[in-house]
Amino acid sequence: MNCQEIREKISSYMDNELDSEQSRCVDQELLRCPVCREELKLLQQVDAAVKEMPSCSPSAQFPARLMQQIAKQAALPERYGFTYNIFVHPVKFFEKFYNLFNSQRVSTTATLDELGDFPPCSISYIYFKLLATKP
Amino acid sequence: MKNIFGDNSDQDLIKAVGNGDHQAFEHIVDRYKNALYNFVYRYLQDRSLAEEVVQEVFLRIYKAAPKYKPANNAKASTWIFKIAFNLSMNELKARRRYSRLTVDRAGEREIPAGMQVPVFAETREMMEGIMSGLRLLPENQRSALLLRVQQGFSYREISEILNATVSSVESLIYRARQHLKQHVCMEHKE
Repeated sequence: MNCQEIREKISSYMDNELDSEQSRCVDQELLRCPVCREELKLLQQVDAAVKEMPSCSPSAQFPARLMQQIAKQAALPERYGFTYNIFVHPVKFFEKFYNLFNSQRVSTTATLDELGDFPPCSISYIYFKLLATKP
Repeated sequence: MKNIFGDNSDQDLIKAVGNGDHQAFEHIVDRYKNALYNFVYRYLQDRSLAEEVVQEVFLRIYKAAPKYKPANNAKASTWIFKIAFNLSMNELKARRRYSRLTVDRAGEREIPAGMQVPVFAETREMMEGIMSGLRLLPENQRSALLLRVQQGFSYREISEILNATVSSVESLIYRARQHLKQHVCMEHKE
């Protein structure tokens, strides 16, 4: 590795993320090259400043507010799983569809007989007629 | 990762939360609230929003705890920070979609009470340069650097949190450090 390549590895070297061979190369280069040593020093200063940045913390009310939210969550009824949510709506639809036809099952054909003379396009009339005769 | 939280029982705590142990949950909140808040705040640059996101992180942890299974022996802290990162990113995307991100400028250089103020003007200048430089970094670079330097995660753990490869994490951290170094040097010259 040349000097430029070594300098690009200094960041990983600082983090102990190089393998032993690469790490040894960087060690040797640091002994030899003042520019690389300066680079390491600058990056270490940057890291030190990032570490020492003033830390901030959430407000004093945060834990109490969070626990309140948790209590609300716990009070909610348990939600069903993913599989249930996928199948519940189609099942409900087919159930309604089945009930619709099942409840309107006619025991006699009297109404239909009465409508026997209507032309085929008058299906809407037949529909409303059936609707009106629904008990 | 350095043992900054003293956390060899994180997994046990999450299991206990899954079994309905509220005290274990309070322990997790106490352990992670500051680290998460700092991370999310540096990401979103908005204090109240950061608090909302951290609250949501803990709610997600609480809900997911009964089903929690660590992937590839990943640490619980990796899982927690991954939730925080994803929620922060969603928040940032949503805000960008509807409005420009408003920066909480009042708090950006604020040094909280009890925090030791750097003695030397040079150190203070350096820190102010770092803080303003950090805000200018692309989000993925900023997150990678903060996770490494402040939280002490390894490159592999950061790659899991950011959903990236280890080599791209290496590159992100390298570029972040270079940007900050150049930014501080430029500010120093001015």
